[in-house]
Amino acid sequence: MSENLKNIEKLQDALTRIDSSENVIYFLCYDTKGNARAAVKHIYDMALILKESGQNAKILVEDNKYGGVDTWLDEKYNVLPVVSIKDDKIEIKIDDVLVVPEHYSNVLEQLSNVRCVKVMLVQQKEYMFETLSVGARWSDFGFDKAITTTESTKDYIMEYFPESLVHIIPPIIEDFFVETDKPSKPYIAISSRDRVKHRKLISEFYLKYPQLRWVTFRDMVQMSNTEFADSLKECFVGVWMDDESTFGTFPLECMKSGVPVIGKIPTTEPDWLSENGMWTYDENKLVELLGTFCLAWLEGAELEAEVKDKMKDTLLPYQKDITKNNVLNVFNSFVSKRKESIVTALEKLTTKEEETV
Amino acid sequence: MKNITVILPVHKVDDDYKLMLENAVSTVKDFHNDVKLLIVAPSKIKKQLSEIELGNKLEIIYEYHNSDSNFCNQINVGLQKVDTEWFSILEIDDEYQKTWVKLMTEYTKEYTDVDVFLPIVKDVDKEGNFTSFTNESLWAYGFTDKQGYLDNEVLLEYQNYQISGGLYKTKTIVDNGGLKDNIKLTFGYEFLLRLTHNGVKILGVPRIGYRHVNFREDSLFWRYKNDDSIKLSENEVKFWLETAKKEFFYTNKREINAIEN
Repeated sequence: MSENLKNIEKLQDALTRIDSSENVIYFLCYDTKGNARAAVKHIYDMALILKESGQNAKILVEDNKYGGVDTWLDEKYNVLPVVSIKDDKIEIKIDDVLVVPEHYSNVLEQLSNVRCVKVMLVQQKEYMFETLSVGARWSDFGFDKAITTTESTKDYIMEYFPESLVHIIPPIIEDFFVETDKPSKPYIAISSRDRVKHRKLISEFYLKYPQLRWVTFRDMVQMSNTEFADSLKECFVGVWMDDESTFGTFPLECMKSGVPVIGKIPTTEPDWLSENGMWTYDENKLVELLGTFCLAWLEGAELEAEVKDKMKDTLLPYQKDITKNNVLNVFNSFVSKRKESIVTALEKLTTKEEETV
Repeated sequence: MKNITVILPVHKVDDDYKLMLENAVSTVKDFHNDVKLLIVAPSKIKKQLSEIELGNKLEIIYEYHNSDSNFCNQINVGLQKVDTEWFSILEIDDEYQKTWVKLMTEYTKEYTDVDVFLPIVKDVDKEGNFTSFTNESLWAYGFTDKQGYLDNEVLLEYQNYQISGGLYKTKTIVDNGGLKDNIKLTFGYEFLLRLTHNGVKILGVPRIGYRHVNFREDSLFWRYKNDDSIKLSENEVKFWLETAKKEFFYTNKREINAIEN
C-alpha cells in the first residue's frame, strides 16, 4: 500500500473516531497527594462534563503512583478513566485533544511531535513562565489554543502569545455551597496560600484583639469538598490571602455560602471583584478589618442587603449550567475544527490518489 | 404571644435607682411583643415604685413581697409568678442589647434541646467603657467538652459566668430549684453547677446580648468587696466557692453553717 493510501486510511479512521465520539480528550493532571485543589477540581469538572455528554474524556497522569482525588472529590468523578503516560503507553492520535496545565510547561517540547489538538490550560497565570524555556512560545510546540478562567488572564495571554486562540471557562461554584438558616458560629474561615502569612495573621489578630482570643480560626485545608462546604457555612466570616490567585474560588464559595469575605486583593484583580466583600490592597490592614468586623458582628451587626445582593449577583456567571454549556461549546469547536482540517486533508490526498491512478 | 418573662428585682428607690430602673426598662421596651416584665420589689417601696412612669407599651407586672429584699429570693419569688415558657433575669443597672430577643428566638428555634442560653455579656465600668466579655469562653476551642456548651467539669475549674441576661426554660428551672439565697457571692455559680450536674443543657450564644456594669458602687458585688458591714475576706471568698461546689448536689438550700460545723 502506498504511503498516500496509508495516510488516507489514517484520516478516515480519525473521522470515524470523531463521528463515533471515540476520539479522546486528555486532561493532563498533577497529583495533589490527597489535598484539595480548586485547579484540579476544575480539570475534573471539565472532563466530567464532557464524559457525561458522551465524549471520551480521560485524565492523563505521569505514572501509576498518581494518588487520585477520591479523598476530597465526590465519587461521581470516579467514572473518569485515569491513564498514565509511563505505564499505559498511550498513543495520542490526530483526532484527540490534549489539555496541558501551565504547571506542565516543561513538557511542551516533548509534546511538540504529537499531532493532536493541543490546548494550554492557564489557571495560575503566575506559573505560566515558571518552567517554560526563556523566550519560548507555546505555539513553538504546536499549542495554539488556550483555556483560562478570567478576562484579565486572557488579556495577559494575548499580550504575550497573540497568536493564541483563548477561551474563558471559569470554574463551577458548586451548588453544595449553600447559605444556612442556622445562626453562625464564632469561627473565621481562613484561606491563605502562604502558611507563614496565615500564621502571622492569626498571631497578630489575637495580640491586637486579646478579648477575641476565644474566636476560632478554621484552617480550610485537608477537607473533602463537601466537608469544606459544611465547615464554611458555619463561619461568620472568611479571610482570603492569596497574592498568586488568578481566579479566586474561595471568596466565591464564601459568597455562595452567605459568608462575608475579608480579603487582600491579589496581584491580578479577580474579574468578579466589586463591592461584594471587604477588600484591601494593604495586607497590613487585614487584621484591623477583621477585628472591626468581628466586634461589629458580636454587637449584632449584619451585612447590608445591598452587599448581600452584590454577593448573589457576583455568582451568576459561575453557575454549573453556564459552565457546562461553555465547556461543551469550546471543546466541540476544537473537535469540529480538527474534523474540518482532516476532511480538507483527506480531500487533498484523495484527489492526489485519483490523479495518480 | 409573649413567651418570655423578664424578672427585674428592685430593692430600693432613690434618684439614682429611679434612673437605673428607667434605663433598664427602656432596654426591654423594644421587646414588648415578645416579653413581659415582672418587677419584684419589697412591699415597703410599693408607693414610690408606683409613682415611676415606665410607659404603657410594655406589659409590666408588679410582685411585692414582705421578706427582706435579697436578690436571690426576689428571683425565686418572681419565678413562682412566671407563666411563660421562658424567663430571663435583668439587673437594675444592666441593659439588654437591642438584638437580644432576635438572638434568643434564633437560638431557641435551632437548639431545641437546650434549656439555658447564656449570651455574651459585655462588661463595662461605671463610665460605660468596655472592660471584658463574660460567657464568651464557652466558644473557645477545646475549652469545654463540646464547643459552645457549658459543662460541670469546666465549671468546677472556672467560675466566671454571668447568669443575668440569660434565657431560662421556666419548667426546667422550677424542677431544678431556683437561686439559693443563703449562699453569698457564689449563688450564681452554685446555680450553674447544679444545672450542669443535673444534665441541663446550657449553650453560650456567641453574640453580645447583655451589658453589665462591673462593680457599680452600691451593687451587691461592690458591697461584698467594699462595704464593711458585709465585706468578704479572701478566705470567705474561698469558703463561698467551696460551699457552692458542695451544695450543687442538692436541689434545695441547706443550712450552710451546720454543714461547716
